[in-house]
Amino acid sequence: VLLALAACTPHPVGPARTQDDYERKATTTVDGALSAVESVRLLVQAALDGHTFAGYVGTVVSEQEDAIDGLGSTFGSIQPPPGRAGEELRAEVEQLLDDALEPVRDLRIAARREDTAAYEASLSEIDAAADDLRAFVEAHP
Amino acid sequence: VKKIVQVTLGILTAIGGFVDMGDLVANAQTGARFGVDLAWVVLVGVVGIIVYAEMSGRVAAVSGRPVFELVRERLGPRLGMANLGASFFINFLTLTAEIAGVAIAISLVASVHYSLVVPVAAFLVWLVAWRLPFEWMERVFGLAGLALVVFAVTVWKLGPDWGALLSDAAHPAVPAQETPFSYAFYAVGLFGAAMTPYEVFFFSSGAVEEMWGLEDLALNRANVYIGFPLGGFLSLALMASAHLVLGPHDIAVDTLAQVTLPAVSVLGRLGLAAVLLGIFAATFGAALETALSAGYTIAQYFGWEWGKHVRPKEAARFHLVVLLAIAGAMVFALLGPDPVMVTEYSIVLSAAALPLTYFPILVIANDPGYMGEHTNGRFLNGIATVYLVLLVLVALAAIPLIIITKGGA
Repeated sequence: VLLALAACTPHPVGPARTQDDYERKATTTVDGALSAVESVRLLVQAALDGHTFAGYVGTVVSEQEDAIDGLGSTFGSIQPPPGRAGEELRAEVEQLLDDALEPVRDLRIAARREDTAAYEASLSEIDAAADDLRAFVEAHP
Repeated sequence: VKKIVQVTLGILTAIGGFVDMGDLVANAQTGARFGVDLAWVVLVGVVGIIVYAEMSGRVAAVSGRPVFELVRERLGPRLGMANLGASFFINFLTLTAEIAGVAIAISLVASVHYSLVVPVAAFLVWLVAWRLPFEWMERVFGLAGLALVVFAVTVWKLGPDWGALLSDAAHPAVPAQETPFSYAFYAVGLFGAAMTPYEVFFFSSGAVEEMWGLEDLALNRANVYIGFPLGGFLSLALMASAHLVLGPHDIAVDTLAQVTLPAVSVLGRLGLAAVLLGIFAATFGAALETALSAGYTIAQYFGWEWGKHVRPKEAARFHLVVLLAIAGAMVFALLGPDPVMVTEYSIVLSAAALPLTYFPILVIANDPGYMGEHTNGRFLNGIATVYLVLLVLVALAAIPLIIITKGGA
């Protein structure tokens, strides 16, 4: 049971030995964030069409916010390989995750306040974050 | 007329009760990630569960005894204990996932974090398992689970290119961005989700609870031959809806809430209400089945009095095991594992233990000492043997695939 618990709990990972290894982990992280942001985007579009209710939107957005936050923590715990390229990649990924997290957080606050008018404003920021994340994934296959 | 109503209700219950947390997660994940390239696995899994569930229902109806009791008697205490240990552990993981699923479904309506709802969900599962008569318990959640037909309506409303969809399903291939190992990992997961061991333990124990006799063999066949394929159809609809809605957005399914998105975005509030009801009913029904299966397997192995058909006072140890299993699963869920990861591991580890469950059923179903003239025919034995070989191969591959793919990552 303890082994199962360890296997099923998200946890930090060890150092990346090479730049390739680090880049793969960066792509996996950004791919996860893209999935979370796209989920939120789909949800906001449904909410704007009147397809949902605020409590549901707030809970789902909050989950995706936690997911992006968790990805940031996990990636941040990876020791980058020595050299400038590793540092630059780390900074780029962290910026992308911050940019993705901010509109999702705003949306969660708006949903909890049942401020549906704020959804539209968040949507354009979410679109931009999704586009940036996708561009990164496509540039680092 | 009463008989027709009974058979119809049985079939509807089998359809609604077929899908559980494992099916919800596995089908949505594979649909979003692999399209319909793994649809064939659902078909293979459904045929497998039909073959062996029919056998276990027939064994119970003919002998009046459940499968696990006969496993110990026929294969001896040592092999029986190995079977019990593996089944109980996997059943426990599945119960944890189902209780988490119930809590998530409630949390999406109540707008609170799911972990706050886990104790409430566990209590409700115990209360229903303790108080509600067996027949009602099965029918209420089985019938409410039919709300998952919302996934089929979603696909129909999307109006996909049916020819292309069928062609993709009929010509499966490993997608370019995936490796053969990740494809095999998810294939094993889907197969494990369709053939989860608790299903046959519950099915055969349920037959004894409902006091099936030879006259119920037709009901057994109707449930299995009609209800299970239609339940498999719900799984395929879920896979297709994830493929059509989540796939184009690069959404990987990491949470149960993401499973609801296709129905919400296509069908609106009615779709949302139906999908939440369906998920609640499917996971609650499966939580009841796994909780009771924990009691069934242990009580039947040790020869204790068991079941909801006897007074609780007479089956105190059975009810105590059920209570402890639910409490243990609740504590495990509260320790913070990711519910989707628990589900993934439970279905893949299920696959690793499948031969331990299904081999004894095949042996008993061929034993005239138990079955009289109702032993398996040649054709059925042929199919069952092919499946047994497949089960062994899947079992051998399951754990290496977890390691190689790092849990399907």
